[in-house]
Amino acid sequence: MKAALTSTLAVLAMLLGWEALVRGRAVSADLLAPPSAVLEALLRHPEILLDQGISTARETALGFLLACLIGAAMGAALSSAALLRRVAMPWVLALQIVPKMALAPLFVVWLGVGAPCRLAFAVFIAFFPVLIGTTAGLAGTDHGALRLCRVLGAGWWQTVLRVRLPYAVPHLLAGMKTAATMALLGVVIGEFVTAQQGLGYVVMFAASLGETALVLAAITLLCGIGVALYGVVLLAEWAFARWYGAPMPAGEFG
Amino acid sequence: MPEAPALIAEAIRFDAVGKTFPTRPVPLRAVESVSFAVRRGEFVAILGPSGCGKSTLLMMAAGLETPTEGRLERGGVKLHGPHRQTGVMFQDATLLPWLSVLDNVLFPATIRRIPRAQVLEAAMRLIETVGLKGFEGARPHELSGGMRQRAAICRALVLDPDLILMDEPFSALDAITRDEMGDVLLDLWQHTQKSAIFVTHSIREAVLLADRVLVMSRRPATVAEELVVPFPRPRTPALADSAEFGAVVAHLRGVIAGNMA
Amino acid sequence: MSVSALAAPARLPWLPLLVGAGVLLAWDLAVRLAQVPQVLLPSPGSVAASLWQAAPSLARHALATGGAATGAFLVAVLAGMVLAAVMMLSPLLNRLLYPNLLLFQLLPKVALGPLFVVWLGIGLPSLFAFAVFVSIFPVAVGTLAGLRAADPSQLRMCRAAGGSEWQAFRYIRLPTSMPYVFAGAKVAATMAFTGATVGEFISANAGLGYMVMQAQARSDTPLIFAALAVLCVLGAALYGAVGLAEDAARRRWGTRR
Ligand SMILES: Nc1ncnc2c1ncn2[C@@H]1O[C@H](COP(=O)(O)OP(=O)(O)OP(=O)(O)O)[C@@H](O)[C@H]1O
Ligand SMILES: [Mg+2]
Repeated sequence: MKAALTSTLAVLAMLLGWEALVRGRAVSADLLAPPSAVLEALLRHPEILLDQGISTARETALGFLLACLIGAAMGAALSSAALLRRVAMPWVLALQIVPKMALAPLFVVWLGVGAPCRLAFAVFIAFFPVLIGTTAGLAGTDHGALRLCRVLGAGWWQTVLRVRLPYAVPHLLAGMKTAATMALLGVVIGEFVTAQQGLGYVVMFAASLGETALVLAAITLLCGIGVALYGVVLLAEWAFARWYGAPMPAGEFG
Repeated sequence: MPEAPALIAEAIRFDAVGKTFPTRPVPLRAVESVSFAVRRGEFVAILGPSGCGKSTLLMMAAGLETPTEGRLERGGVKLHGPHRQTGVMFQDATLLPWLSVLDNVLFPATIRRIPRAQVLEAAMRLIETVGLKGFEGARPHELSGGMRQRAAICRALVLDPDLILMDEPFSALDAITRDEMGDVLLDLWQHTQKSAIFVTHSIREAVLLADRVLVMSRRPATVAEELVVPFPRPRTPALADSAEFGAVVAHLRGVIAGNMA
Repeated sequence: MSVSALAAPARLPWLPLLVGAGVLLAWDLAVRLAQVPQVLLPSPGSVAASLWQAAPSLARHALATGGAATGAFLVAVLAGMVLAAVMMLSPLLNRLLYPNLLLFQLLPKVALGPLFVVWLGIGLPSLFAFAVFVSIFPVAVGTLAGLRAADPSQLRMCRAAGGSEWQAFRYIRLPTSMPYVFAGAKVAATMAFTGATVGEFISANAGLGYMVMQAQARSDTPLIFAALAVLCVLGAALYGAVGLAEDAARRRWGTRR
């Protein structure tokens, strides 16, 4: 609580100092629009920002959902088939060490400059943490609990539903947290390279005009979308923790 | 228990059972030609050096491993796979952390799709017998190690199996709690006439609880010695303080030492 | 099953390689037989041809991007470690910065790219600063986590032996933090290339990202593939270098993960 207060104060102080610097003409307002100008830009162009913001938010949410579904499905498939794992896992891993965000232009080539391109790219960027979370979660089931299931003659479905899934969910949620951030990133980069719509486009467009106030206003909205989506996952985590009612087995991971 | 299959006086029978694990480079012979039977209502304890193959033996009895040689009969029928009338307890309690004590105890009923109401009474009675009354709603992380193991006993017994297999169920507990758990089992066995195989490293536990003690050899495990415990039932924990008890324990210790040499 | 498991493969993963070769073959065959237009999916052969033809300019642009990314990576690792160390040693700074650092992890930092162009103009300085900006966070957060991961009983032992705060830092916290630092540095390696390339997408006059955008405008898909392939190899190379450095450090200081 106290820590939150200190850092909030720090942020406020920083904003005030920034405002003062610009007012005192130590920094040009063209280079770094002061918070007041950002606020004004937010209020001055509500329809543009709202329209583009909704477009970005919709694509981010959809991309996130698809990434979760695809990542979880792939993770489950890789966990259950050893051959598939041996064949495909090195490639999935290799994909993670290349700068895959730079592959956005390929998606433009294949899918054009519309929403499908941005969605596909967001999924491409964001599915991996969910995949890893799912594999880690399914592998993380307590061995004793699995043995218990065999002793009791539990079927495959029962084992998955009653034991494997609850052990996997914390890992899955950790992966989803990362995926939430990545999905937004994917959509924004998609908007950069397709240059059609969305807050990413607003950022780029306003920056080319030197309108830093509008740039920062759009970025503020982007942050809002990012935090909101992250908050949804946190909420899910909280709900699960309440139902779970015990210290959770999984930690965070990168 | 309906006494219909009265002809079969044996709960489980090992007939020259052997187990070899296909390890590389050399296969590992864990169990060698083990033959013995547990009569209905009989409590058999198994003692033996670490790593000799006791757990493997028990896993085969539980239907989790298949023997590579010999034959295993459960109630007169060849055993394949886990048996509905067998309860199993392992070294750690393996309670599911998100379930309450009661739900953990009822977990076997959940898996077998037996209506809760049908076993609730039995579960509550067991929970009371082992001294967990008042903790039905608690989560495993709120319990001590001994309490968790009590819950695991209830879970093994809740569907009223006729054979219980226990693999060092108390070895993760401290000495005092461990003795306490032995007393809980003793107490439970005064009321229920179930068959049991109990693997332990504690000679005291074996002699206090069992009707018969089997001493295994080093790996590959065979039955090296067999001792019928000469104390009548009902027994009480006080038995462990008697001189006769001490004599039997000392005798067994000698047997084991000789066996290891 | 960590990404770092790739850094030093115990033996050649022949099965995935075989499958990869098979996929390449199937790709070539499919493109030929189904007559997929070059603009959509060039055959591996035409990508290779493009790679060969454009080799001189690819090399020049690769040097620009690779240089900017590698430089930014080094600066980010150093600065990130220093930042983390300072935060570790100064509770006040830690209280002020740490929550904001975490918050920044959540934000789409890459979206700030155009702002760097406004500030520093088109060219190397803005690209460099942007690449440092996106890659410093994983290092700082990783190092901080590592410095905090020190075993409390070891720290107590050090204090009981009369060790100073600094000695505890030097002999206990620093060695424990190594795997975390390297984990952060691996992410940073990828992020530095991401930052450099995305910066070039936004606006640049050189670099592989710039080349890709140019090729895209001309619908020269084989060249896009070729440039991206070079980019991937460069990114993987920097990543692999971090992996090698980690192995060397582990052998030198004997830290385990
Ligand atoms: N699944 C398996 N695959 C290969 N070898 C196994 C397997 N399970 C057990 N073993 C081996 O079989 C031998 C007997 O193991 P087991 O667990 O039955 O011993 P134990 O008598 O229960 O020992 P302890 O008293 O320490 O519990 C050991 O050498 C062990 O390594
Ligand atoms: Mg054992």
